[in-house]
Amino acid sequence: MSSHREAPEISKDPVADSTDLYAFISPDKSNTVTLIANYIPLETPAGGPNFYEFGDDVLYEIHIDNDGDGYPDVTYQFNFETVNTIPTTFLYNVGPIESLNSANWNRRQFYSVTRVTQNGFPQVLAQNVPCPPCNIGPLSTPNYASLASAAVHSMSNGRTVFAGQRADAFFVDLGAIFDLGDLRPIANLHNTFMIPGLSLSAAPGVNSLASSNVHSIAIQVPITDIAAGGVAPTNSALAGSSVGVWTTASRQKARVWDSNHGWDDFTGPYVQVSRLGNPLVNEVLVPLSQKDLWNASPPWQDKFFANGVAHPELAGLLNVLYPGFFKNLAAYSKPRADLEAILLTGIPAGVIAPTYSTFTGATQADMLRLNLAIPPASTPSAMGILGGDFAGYPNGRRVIDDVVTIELQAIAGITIPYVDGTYVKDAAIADVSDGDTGAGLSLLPSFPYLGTPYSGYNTPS
Amino acid sequence: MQEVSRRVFFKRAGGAAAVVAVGTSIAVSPAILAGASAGAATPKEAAISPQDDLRVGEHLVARVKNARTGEINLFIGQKEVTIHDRKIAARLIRAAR
Repeated sequence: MSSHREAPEISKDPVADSTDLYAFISPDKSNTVTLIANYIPLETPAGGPNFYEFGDDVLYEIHIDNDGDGYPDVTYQFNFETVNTIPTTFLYNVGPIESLNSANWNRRQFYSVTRVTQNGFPQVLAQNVPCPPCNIGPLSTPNYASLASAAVHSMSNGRTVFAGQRADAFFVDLGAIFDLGDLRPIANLHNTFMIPGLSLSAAPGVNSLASSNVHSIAIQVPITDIAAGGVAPTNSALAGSSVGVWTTASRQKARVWDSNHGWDDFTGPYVQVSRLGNPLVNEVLVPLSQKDLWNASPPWQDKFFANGVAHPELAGLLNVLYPGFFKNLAAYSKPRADLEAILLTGIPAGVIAPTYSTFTGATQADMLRLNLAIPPASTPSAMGILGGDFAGYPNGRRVIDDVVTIELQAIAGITIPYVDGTYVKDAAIADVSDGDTGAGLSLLPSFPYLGTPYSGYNTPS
Repeated sequence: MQEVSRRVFFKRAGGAAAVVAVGTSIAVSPAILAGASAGAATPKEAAISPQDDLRVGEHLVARVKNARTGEINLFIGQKEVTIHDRKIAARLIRAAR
């Protein structure tokens, strides 16, 4: 979760496994959009001697669809290259890494950024940009925050980029949720499958990702860089004001193990092995048998998977797991037009408010939709639209957004009344949550917003 | 000190492709397609024309997908080409067995 190890095949390929995608109007620079794609789930900070790094053989991309057809109109590509500057040592570093060009630092990564438009024209925005090292500890990476901030790189036309390790800002009680739908705050209501002698008590949630890191690719660009026609929209009610965003990782199609060198040789065209738009879609709404196919598919083909959104399995399970508390949801047999709108087409103007829209068109495509004409909130709510905050999920996704609770409550029926006035919400719905709030997360007030990664020396403490 | 990346190291160390079989995938040398055995290099191979040779660090992977139709997927660089040639497919299978 939200896409950490969400499908069988990609769970075996961490460097290509997207974990989270964020897209939001930059709160401190409201004429820009920040896009962040996280990869490599569940990094243990003390991950030496071979610390985590991006895959040199993976093509990382962030795509933007600005005309609602589920095809990319603008794509940012990221290619990495790793170098060993001290071939004779077994160490990642032979002394303190005090700067990005430190002579003590052996194993380094550099990357290029390329912008590709719909007509296929590639524009190289940056080359040989250094990643910061992983946060190892006070001897190897003293003053880590300033070391990492030096890796924020300015590009032409007001674009900014960063790629490297960050603290994972996603929060979720994985241990409970995947123990047969246990939500700790209402665990006392769980049927416990009538296991003799077992009784669960209500308890606060546990953040299973606390103190874990990820590798982030963050890019901040002017709104005009991704808007249709290169013009920043001003009317949030118009469909053309919203864009769809997703990230993919691709590998070359043919792989042959080269035993002469001890590595894989890749040949052929790049093919997609990982995809992420809205959080939790492949994780929770796509059947296990189709998750790998979903990862290899483009958004414009998501009609094939739409049944899992219109009839979510989890909604049917809630009244079984929590008997009698979700009777109205259990009795609701219509396709879930609310979830289809939130996840596959965007929410048309007028459904929630006249000026609120994430609608991109009739094409069903899982994309994280962001209305470019809705400004950042002055007092953001982590509950996004459920908290009355038009600038939060599902209008894009900020690093503070509690997407697990928002989506759990949406699946449990809290958004049905927006599209079906006859539906009465179950009283228990307000308590549907994994109990994590994101309190205590390490975040930054400006780009790249995700906090300093946990250091290997100090974690676990 | 000179930096050594994986790609640069490979380019320095690499030459023509090795013959490796993985399932029904076979990395082939041009000699096999020309009908020669998969054994050691011959004078004929050494005299191969530049346009038929692999570039430094490059290799070609062939995947015989269907022997009866002769469908073969060829991977080289960042390209994939599909050909249909039952004779070549049969020759590859014989060479690999």
